[in-house]
Amino acid sequence: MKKALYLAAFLALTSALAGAVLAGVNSLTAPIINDRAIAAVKATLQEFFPQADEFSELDFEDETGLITNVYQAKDAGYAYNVKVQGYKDVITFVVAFSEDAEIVGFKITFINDTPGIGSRVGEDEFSNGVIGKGSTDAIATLSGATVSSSSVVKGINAAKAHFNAMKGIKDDGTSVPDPVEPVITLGEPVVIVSDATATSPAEILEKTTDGNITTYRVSAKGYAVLEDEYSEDPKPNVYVIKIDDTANTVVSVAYETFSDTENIGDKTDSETFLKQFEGLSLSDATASVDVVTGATYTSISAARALRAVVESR
Amino acid sequence: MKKFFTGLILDNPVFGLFLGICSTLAITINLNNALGMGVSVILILIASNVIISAIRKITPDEIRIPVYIVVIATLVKAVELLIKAYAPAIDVALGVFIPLIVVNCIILGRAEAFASKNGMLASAWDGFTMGVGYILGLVVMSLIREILATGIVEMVNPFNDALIFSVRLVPAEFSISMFSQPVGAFLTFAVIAAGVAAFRDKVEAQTKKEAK
Amino acid sequence: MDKLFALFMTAFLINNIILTKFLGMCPFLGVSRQRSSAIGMGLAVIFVILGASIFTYVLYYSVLVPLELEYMDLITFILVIAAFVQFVELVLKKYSPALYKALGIYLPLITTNCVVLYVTLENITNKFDFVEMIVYSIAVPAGFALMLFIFSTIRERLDIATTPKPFRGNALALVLAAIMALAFSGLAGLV
Repeated sequence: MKKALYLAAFLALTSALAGAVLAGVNSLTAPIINDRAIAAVKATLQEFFPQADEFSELDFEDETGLITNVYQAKDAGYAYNVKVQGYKDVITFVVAFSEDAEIVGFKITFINDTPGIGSRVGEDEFSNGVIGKGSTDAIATLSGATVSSSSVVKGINAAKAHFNAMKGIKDDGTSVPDPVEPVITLGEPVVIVSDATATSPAEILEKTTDGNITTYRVSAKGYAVLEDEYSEDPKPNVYVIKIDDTANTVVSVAYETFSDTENIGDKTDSETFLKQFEGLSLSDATASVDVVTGATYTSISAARALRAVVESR
Repeated sequence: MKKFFTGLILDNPVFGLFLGICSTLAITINLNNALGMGVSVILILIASNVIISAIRKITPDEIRIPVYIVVIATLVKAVELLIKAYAPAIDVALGVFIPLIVVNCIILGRAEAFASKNGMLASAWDGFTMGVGYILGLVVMSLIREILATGIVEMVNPFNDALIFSVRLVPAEFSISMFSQPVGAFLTFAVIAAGVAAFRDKVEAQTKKEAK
Repeated sequence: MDKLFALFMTAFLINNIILTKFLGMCPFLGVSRQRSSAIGMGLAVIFVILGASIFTYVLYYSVLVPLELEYMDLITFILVIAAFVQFVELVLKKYSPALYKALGIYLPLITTNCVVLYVTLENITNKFDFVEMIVYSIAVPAGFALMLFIFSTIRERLDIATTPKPFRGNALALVLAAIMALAFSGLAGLV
């Protein structure tokens, strides 16, 4: 019995000594650690609220468990530190609301997801769809980065819920997110009348003339019909092409029906791509448009449609 | 001297004795992390060896393991707090692996196997040599992984985030990002361990021949 | 409930402690050679981690935090773990001497098993509530046990097969771990 007491006492003494040493180190380092934590956040807070000069951290209750800190910028707004589970690892970010319930800041502070895919939530492509939104507006996820972006949206919604509750703003949940415009880059040019468009000629479905504008409805086979072995009932794309008869130039090319792959081929249904057709001269054998990178087949399908029009005149 | 280097490889705590594997696999993504961890471990190893050697005569045998653990844990926590305060970049990079140094088999292993039975100076030297072996293992592994995964070797000063140097050794097109993932970690470790085992066989065959 | 399930699956499989976090490698390489010791070790680890988690969790929130002694977490946690393992050892010795003998040296080694300390620390870092802590403390060692079991079945065969001499033993186990890590990385993004 005596031995056991002695052993326990020795261990206790050792632990007490250890505790004393640590208490000393802790008192030395704790203020520095605290300062660093606040400094890091303060820099971000200052970015979002440049006019504010006083920041404080608030106690908060959050059922979602996603909010890690809530800060108030005096007379300017509130900022939330949020942590969500992304695709491979956690994603942490800061989202800031102004006093008038507008999202004035959004910044990803840690992300470790796939570069070029999940990491897109850290880029302007995503934050442009967040900053400026109101606290009751819905945020759209990124197509092609669904897991990462929907986690981040969930986190933003948690912050919104807390902010709205705090401010007494009612969110009836009817807001529909604006879809995010996918980033479109243009690649190599395809000449309208060339080998590239020689195969699978397009079919003119209808031609109407109104004054000096002729409108053609053209059916052109795209990716779904020519390349996609998996789609059940592939249909061609249908374009509406308007030609200025006097100048013999293209007025516009637009989609009537798009049948190729969503989130890939439909990148061609954008002003960036379609605007290239405007003003092209039908008598110019070198007339060309640049294809949309990643949507080459669908871009060529549009070119084929125009070629059919050119060849019919 | 040759014996010293041979010992460094054959008795290498990581690749020869398979101690402290967890942190080796996780930390060695780049040189900075490897050095940060290596330096922390060697300091703690030397300090714990010295302290445990100093109290070895008064420590009751039955509770020696818990006592050693308390000593090591105190050192680790102190180092953790100091790193959080003065070199937070390392804290972010190493994360939970700093407190996990407590259960790094190398430290408790040396305390039990050597420091509890030898004088302070000898224990300090033992901590130093084991620590160097550990750092060597970490550095080799992290260099391989970093070069294969990114093509770049770089060092950042952890105290003020200033870049010390950054050298691109392999063009970016040849980088194999698999090596910054668990797969690459396991594979690199396996190959190095196999290399050490082959080296050991060779040395043993050599000594057998010389003994004849 | 949905959140708890996601927490369980993530800790058990997707962020598997051996294949993605590299923790628990030392006992892993030592014990995973035979199926029988693997199963025993796996169950023992689940029990130890669950018990240690509950104790350290309660200790942290009812003693350390009110007394502002958070920096003592490392020392107190590891002592609790050591004591708990000792306790399990005594119980096993008395009630199941066969298992006690089978585990041999590896039982006390659970103390230095990184996984145990890791789980107890993570319970605090992730600010889990009591239920989440329980779920996590079962899921993580269950993942460890699963890998231990799978590996032991494969290694039993590898030991009989002809393999390159330098790779025999641990190096080969690590190559195996690499392949499994690759296979399981496909689970990312599941929940």
